[in-house]
Amino acid sequence: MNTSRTVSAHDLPLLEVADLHKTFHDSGRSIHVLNGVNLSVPDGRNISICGQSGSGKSTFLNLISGLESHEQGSIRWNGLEIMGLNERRLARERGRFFGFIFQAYYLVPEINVVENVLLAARLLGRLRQSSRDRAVALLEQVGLKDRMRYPVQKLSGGERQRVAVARALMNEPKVILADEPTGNLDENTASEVMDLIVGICRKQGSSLILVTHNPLFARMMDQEYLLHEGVLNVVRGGDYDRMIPDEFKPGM
Amino acid sequence: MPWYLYMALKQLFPTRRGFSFFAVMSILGVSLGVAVLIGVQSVMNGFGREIRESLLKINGDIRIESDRVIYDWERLADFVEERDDVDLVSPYAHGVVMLQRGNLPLFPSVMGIDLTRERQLLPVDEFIRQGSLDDLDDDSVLLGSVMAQRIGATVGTSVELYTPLMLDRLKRDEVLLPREVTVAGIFESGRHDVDSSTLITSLRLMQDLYGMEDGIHGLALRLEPGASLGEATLAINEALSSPLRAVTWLETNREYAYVLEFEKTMMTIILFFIILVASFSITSALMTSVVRKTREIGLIVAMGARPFHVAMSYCVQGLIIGVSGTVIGIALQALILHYRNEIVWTFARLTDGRDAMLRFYQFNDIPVYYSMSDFVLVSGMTIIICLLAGILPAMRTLRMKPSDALRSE
Ligand SMILES: Nc1ncnc2c1ncn2[C@@H]1O[C@H](COP(=O)(O)OP(=O)(O)OP(=O)(O)O)[C@@H](O)[C@H]1O
Ligand SMILES: [Mg+2]
Repeated sequence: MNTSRTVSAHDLPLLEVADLHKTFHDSGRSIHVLNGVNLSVPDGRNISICGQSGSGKSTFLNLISGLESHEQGSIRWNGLEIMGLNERRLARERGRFFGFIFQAYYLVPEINVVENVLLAARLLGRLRQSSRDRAVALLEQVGLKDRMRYPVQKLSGGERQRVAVARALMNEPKVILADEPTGNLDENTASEVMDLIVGICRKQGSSLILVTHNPLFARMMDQEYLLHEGVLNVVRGGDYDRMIPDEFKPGM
Repeated sequence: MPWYLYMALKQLFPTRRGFSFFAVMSILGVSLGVAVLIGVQSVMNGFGREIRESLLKINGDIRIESDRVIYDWERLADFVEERDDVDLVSPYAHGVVMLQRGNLPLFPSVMGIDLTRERQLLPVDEFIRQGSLDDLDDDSVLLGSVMAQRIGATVGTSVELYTPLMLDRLKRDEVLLPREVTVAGIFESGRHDVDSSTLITSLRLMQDLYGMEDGIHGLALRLEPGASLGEATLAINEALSSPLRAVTWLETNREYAYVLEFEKTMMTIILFFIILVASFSITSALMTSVVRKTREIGLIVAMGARPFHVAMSYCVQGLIIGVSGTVIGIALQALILHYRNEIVWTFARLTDGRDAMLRFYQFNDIPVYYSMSDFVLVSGMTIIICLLAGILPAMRTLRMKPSDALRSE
């Protein structure tokens, strides 16, 4: 395992964040959420980010995907610096590069299951003859092929999240950003869905950046990070992993 | 299909149910407004044309008038009649007399006409309800139907005419006896004001009554078909010298035409409020939808949609409602107008108002005239209003930050 990581670390990182700062200004008060975050995610690697509530995990994901702007630092998608990209370019690159899974599913209620999955391709103007096949294949992988014409309101929470997973993968994104994807689900369904997400991302070759409170799920990733006081620290995996003996690692 | 069009269509017409409640209600609201507006306009156009036609029948195309009595008018008549664009010319004399039957006095206006010429100029025979034009001689008159009914006159009844000339003579200590004439016929033009206070006599009788000798008050002209009213009037006026002047039937009835036009404009403005009100409810429903869908919108933007296109999807919803409302409204209105007479008569029967209807409107058919410019105006305005109804919610989406949208509860 270590050798494979060492090899991929020499490649161009898929996602690279350097010295990222973010401060919110709210009614005269400044909230320093991120104070110099560094992160490098090689292709195909999955990472988890833990942290207390309010530590800035969601904010960090929003910054990574360019949904929120940062005042200092650099973010590169496949080497592309996103600072200074115009709105149109940013939207297009984001749509191609990322897939999103949230705690809530945000499915569009007016359209059925397969149409929700296809929406991802539609939004990028990439709807092709083959798109439908891909959507159906993805639904098959999440176990909902027989319900592809179902109205989404009739699905359970776990099933809805599966649809959201299929939708996130529709455009063959390089990175899946998952912000507490199992937060609304019961324990059993949560681990089912989590297994599914990890499995399907591996199969589709997408890296997974998972924000979670669940240490079990965090451990399923290649690397674990902790966001604390505005700084991202490696907890397990990477160079840090090799430097510190297991018995000194936090949470283990 | 661009995704915002797809989303707009799906929000109005969801995959499963086919129609959203919102879409049905908004389209219905707009189409009702359009139907009422276009229906009323078409009927008013119909009435307007009917009235214009009757005005034209009564007045002819152009009149040559003067402040004074015109003597030696045959030369003038020949001169005008020789023009290429003039078809027929007919002299007339008009004024007011007092008409008395028993002890009931009335003050009708009198139109003295040259019967043979006038019959060619205007469809006078069409108006006769009792008696005949042929019986009209220099000792008889035609009465308007309303006036005849008021004094209880029928064909053969004799009435007395008093003229201003009698007062004139009185000043010279001469006494002129009232002229006794018989009713040769009763006419009905369909216009209440005309039928209740007009007397038609021969030109000779009118000349006698007013002591005009051979003079007349004016010439009524009919143009050749296709001749331009404006050009002909202008050319004739150039040839005439003051106090003679040519006026068109439009000018003679300027107030009438103006009132018609004004009524229609007012009606249109008032009825546009129906569409405006419908558009308000569209705006508020779309606004609610924007708020309800805040997080979905956040996700759609995160997935690579441009905020501008999100806004477009709401404008397009307004547009779709406007266009389909207009089309359905026009279709609905065409259907209603097609069965308008049946509808009105059923309504009249239900309310026992059939006789009243017949009394007030002398026609069995409700006239309708479809004007292309009305259609274009109504459709255009409706679609623009509905588009504007979508713009407010669209602006709201533009102000949303995707990160906040995703965070909102
Ligand atoms: N738009 C904003 N304006 C002001 N403050 C904000 C804004 N967005 C986030 N914050 C603040 O930034 C901090 C980090 O928020 P964030 O949502 O990233 O936390 P989190 O780690 O995801 O928490 P949780 O685990 O509860 O989801 C919070 O204190 C929050 O109040
Ligand atoms: Mg969060």
